[in-house]
Amino acid sequence: MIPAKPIRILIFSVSAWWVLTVSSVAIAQERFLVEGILDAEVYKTNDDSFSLSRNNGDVSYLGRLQLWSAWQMTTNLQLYAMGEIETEDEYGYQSTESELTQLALRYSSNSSPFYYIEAGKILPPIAVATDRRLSTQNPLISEPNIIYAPYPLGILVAGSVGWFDYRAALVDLPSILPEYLPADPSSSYRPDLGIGVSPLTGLRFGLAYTKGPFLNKQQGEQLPEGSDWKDFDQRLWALEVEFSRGYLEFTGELVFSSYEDPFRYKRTEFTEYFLELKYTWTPRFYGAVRYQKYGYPNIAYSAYPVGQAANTILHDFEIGLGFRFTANTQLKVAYQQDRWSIDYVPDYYYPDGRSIALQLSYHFDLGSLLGRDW
Amino acid sequence: MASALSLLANGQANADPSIKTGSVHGQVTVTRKLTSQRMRFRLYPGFKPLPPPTTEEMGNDERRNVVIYLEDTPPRAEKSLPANPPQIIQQGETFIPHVLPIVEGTTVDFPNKDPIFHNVFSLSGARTFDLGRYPQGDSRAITFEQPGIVPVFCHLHSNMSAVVLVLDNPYFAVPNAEGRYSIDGIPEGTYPLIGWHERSERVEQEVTIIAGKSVELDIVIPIEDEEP
Repeated sequence: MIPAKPIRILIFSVSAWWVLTVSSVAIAQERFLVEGILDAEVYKTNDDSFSLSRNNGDVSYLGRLQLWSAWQMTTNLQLYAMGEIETEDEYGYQSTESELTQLALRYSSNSSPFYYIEAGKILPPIAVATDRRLSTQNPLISEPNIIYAPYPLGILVAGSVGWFDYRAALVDLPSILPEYLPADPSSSYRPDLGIGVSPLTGLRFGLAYTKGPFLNKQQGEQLPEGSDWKDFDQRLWALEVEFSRGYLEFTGELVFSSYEDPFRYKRTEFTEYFLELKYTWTPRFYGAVRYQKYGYPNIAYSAYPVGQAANTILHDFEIGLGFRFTANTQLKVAYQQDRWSIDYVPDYYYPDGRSIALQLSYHFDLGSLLGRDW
Repeated sequence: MASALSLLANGQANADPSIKTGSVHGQVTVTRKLTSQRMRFRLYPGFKPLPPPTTEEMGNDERRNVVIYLEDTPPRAEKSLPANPPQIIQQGETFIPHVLPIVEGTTVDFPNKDPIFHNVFSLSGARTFDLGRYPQGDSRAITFEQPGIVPVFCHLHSNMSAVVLVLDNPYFAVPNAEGRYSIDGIPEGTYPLIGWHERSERVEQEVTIIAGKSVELDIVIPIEDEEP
């Protein structure tokens, strides 16, 4: 997801200013942090899968560096940023991409009840599994699709009162994987709301809701006459469960999503879910399994002026083992398999995918690496 | 905690009246302001975030994370372990204290005082363990049988770390708030006196213990990247 040009210019200008001026001051004040994760991945997949195939089925490689830094401006105020650079041969040739994923101000109260406010390019606020984007937090190698959104611009208020937690945000992007849409969704602000209750430590139930446009405004001309791209919205309810006991961790999400589809006369509805179990056998050795069902309206403009849409369902299963060499270095191996089904287009299908992957992850704190006293 | 540890070491060092003992004391100086409590930042905040610990809770003086101990002391006929197991408390997503020196064979408690799950694990060659995930009010314990440096982490909160320094004798101390240390009950003899900090080179000086006397020996702890 690449933001619009003026936003890119703003983001990079602020980043450059931060690196050149603020960071040197902050380092001197010992209020600056730089951490990162270095990933190396090797894949062997089948050669005709829509989602899993890499390098035409030959052995494929991926390298990724994620860096984040934060500046403690005052006791309560932090400025933080996260970016990543990734190089891979997924499509049979080497390609490298970089992205500034987060750049925001965070105000944290230090009183009770606790709350914080973030503004800028922030983490999508309604999914429970977003930390799977960090390989050191993800017990498997792939990331769950459900409510997997691009990083939006927005403002977020979140906190907790007793057993209850809440978050309320206004963000400019929908909660849907952009690659499953005919074009990247255009910016349009919508509410992202969530509440949760933790009756016991290690057990949490949550409920989340969002509603907003999900199409690209450039494609307005291809929509039915008299309609606007903002007339077609995504609505989403999500139930979240997190449970932990001893060496067992469970995360699950049940999602009811619906889309106002430009080429159909009723809303397209999906019931999606995601279940993940992780078990730690020894301090170094753990295993995990994840199953997800993900659905989306497969909108195609190719048949213009009619257009077409088909309910597309992805079933995805992944099982893996992890081994920690050190507290900061771990190796994972995982097998993944998916299966696709598409309604209304019987002669059109996506071949199923299979993948075996290895991932080596190293988490570092730049201050410790350099022996600096930040 | 620093004072308590000094007393702990002093009190248990040598109870045999037939052995002539002396003591060593001095001032610990850290040549540059060290802090292992770097800024903390949670990139993916949970929905029950905790306020950061206060300066008092974190322990602003890095001298608290220095350990002074002796090596090559005579073997002791019997182990004298602390009556109450020392603790490393998990509070405010922080291990308190950050550094805990113990004598081999000591059991350490890890109580969780946060309203969230914590995990305690180490991959150290001296002691590999994983106490699992446990909630507020719960505590798990582990015994450290082998001398060595045992870095301790939490699977759930990567910013949490502590160090258990397992020693083969009870002649150790942690400086107090003024940087003073004192080790009593040491058998007569000449020993290496070590100043240890997790982010410093090991500092070694020789000390000769004379029965009934207290030797003064100051220790300076430099850090690795300090250029002359």
